[in-house]
Amino acid sequence: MSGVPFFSSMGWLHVILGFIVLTDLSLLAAEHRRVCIRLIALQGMLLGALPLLMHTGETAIYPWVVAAIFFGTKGILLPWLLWRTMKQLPFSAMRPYVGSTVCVLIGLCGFMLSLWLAGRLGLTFNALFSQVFPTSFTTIFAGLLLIVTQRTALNQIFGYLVLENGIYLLNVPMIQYENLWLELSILLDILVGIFVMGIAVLHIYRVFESTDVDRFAVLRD
Amino acid sequence: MFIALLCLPFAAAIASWFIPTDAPRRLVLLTVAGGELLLALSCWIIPPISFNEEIFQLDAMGKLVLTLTTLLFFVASVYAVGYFRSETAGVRKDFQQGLHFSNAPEATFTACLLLFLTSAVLVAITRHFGLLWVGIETTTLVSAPLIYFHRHRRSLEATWKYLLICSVGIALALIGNVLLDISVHTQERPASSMSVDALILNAGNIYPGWFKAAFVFLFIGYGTKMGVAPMHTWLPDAHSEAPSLVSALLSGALLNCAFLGIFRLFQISTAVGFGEFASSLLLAFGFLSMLVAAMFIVGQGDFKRMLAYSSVEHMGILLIALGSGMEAARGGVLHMINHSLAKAALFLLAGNILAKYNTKSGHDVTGLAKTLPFTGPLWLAGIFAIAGFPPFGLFISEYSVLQGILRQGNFWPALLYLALLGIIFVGMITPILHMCQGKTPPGIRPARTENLFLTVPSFCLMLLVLSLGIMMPEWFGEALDLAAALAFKP
Repeated sequence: MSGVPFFSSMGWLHVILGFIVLTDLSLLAAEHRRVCIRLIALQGMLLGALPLLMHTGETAIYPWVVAAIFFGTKGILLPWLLWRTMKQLPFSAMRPYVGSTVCVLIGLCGFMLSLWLAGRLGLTFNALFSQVFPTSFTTIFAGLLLIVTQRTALNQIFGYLVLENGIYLLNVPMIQYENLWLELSILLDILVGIFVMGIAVLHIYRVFESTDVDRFAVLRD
Repeated sequence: MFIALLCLPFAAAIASWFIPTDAPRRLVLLTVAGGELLLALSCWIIPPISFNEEIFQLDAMGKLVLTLTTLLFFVASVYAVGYFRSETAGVRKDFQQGLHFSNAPEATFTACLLLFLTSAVLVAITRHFGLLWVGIETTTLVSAPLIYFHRHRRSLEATWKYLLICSVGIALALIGNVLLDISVHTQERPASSMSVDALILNAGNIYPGWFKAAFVFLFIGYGTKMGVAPMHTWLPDAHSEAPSLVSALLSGALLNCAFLGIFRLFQISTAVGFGEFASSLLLAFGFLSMLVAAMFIVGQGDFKRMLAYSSVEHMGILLIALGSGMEAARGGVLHMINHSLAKAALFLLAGNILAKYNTKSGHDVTGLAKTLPFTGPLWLAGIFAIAGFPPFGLFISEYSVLQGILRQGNFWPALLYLALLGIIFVGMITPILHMCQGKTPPGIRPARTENLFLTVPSFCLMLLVLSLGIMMPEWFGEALDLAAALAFKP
């Protein structure tokens, strides 16, 4: 980060990327669903702001439109859907298979691995990709970790959403090319995906009287 | 043409949600399925004009997948009419766990079926990697409610596993898409163009590290959806718990959509000089899939799960074929068609057996040939066909793949391929012979006739598999050549 003025776009970009890594680690350490959803909302808002910092294209309004869409969807709509689903379920603390300290340590290892991988892959035509890569892969790694370590179906959705946030981050530098239709299609798919998963969680609760995936033990060879 | 292919089932899906009575809704389903098949067939006579570069473009491989998908959907729709009629309304007892359950509303089920068709058609008609991803992801979302048609614990468990594993897999494919875009990103390439031709055009300026990473992520992502081992864990559960017509579509159409994703990726890989890297990965995972399938097929008691593991095996064969050169790839494309037709027929027949015997255990089913006079013989023929017995089409395609492997000078892989095919053949045939022979179990009355809606679709599919084994039309052989050539000379 040396040589980058703090209040320049790049300076702010580095600050936001740093905060995103912090939200990843906090999510891995979180012990309550409410905290998790708030952290996901915060992460979504931070990600939503990124198009404003990365856009260098011709249309001035374009980054604001994109930022508004992604800020609204990732920072407000999706967390609200999760919040709504959570409210229909009984209170339950996060009971991961692996303790939160170990999860954070694995998350940190994921961050180191992402930094190493970014160095191995080398620079591309657009230097922004290399800059966002470590944070993006740390977020993807944190999402996968949440999916495999969480015991309940709803908490696994948190992981899926974090994973999608990481992928979105990797794709943000593409904002310069003003090709919104595909991004919106992907966003719509993810939105529907979370919606369908939310409905499935409610069905799981009604049928099994719990959202604990440990109860899924019938289908075996 | 493309707009019609997409809009017809989409509009019908929306309409079917609002049609209150069953009979008109079923008529809509049948009409749209027939119309869509006719549209797909007309593409063979009048090639559709490409839309917006390659966003919508039908190449030889896309045309085969499109025709196969619409054909299977039509057959499944005919079966669906008989299936809906035979389903008991209201709450009833689950024969396996003894718990009570009911079905999802038929309107929702029909709408999701039609949305599934829309998304599968989208996958077939696009050569744009981004849109291909959107299509494949949509197939996951709309097929999840189809698996959960019978609202009991087992189907819910299968649905959740399917939804989560495939969504994560598809998310990995999305990472692959982004990495692919980055790896071929230069000043010359049109910004954000992810079409096959645009990517190949820029093959000289590739970033190798990024491309390899993209390949791995895309392969794991689409491989998960395709049921490639070891990412196949959702497949036996979803296929065994879904209603049989859904299992037929999942195995016959959905797996091909994912295979098309891998096929397109392979196209790019050979063009940019990573053909060898791609082939080695395909071969490794192909053989692993066959091995895993062989392990689970031998001694498998549940006949629907056995069919599901057989799909894992055949997906492995497709990967081996694609990774073994042009000749094997041609056999692979033929194998994709044969497998889809035979497996769809078998799943539909498995539904008839399940309805009659109320069990999925092959050990408890005996005297099938007497109990179900049409289903029984077709089931036996179908199992022989899927196990690669002559004169069915699968024998020809599996033999072509073997020839292709040997032409490459790969003696040991060819031997392994043959050995695994042999083990699977024995593993499948033994329990099926037990099912067909013997006496009908007490309490089950042999049927003199069967519902034509439930048997004719499988019969027609089996007839096609047999025809492809006995005589292949010249035009069809040319279509296979063109499709296989795409992977090596894009």
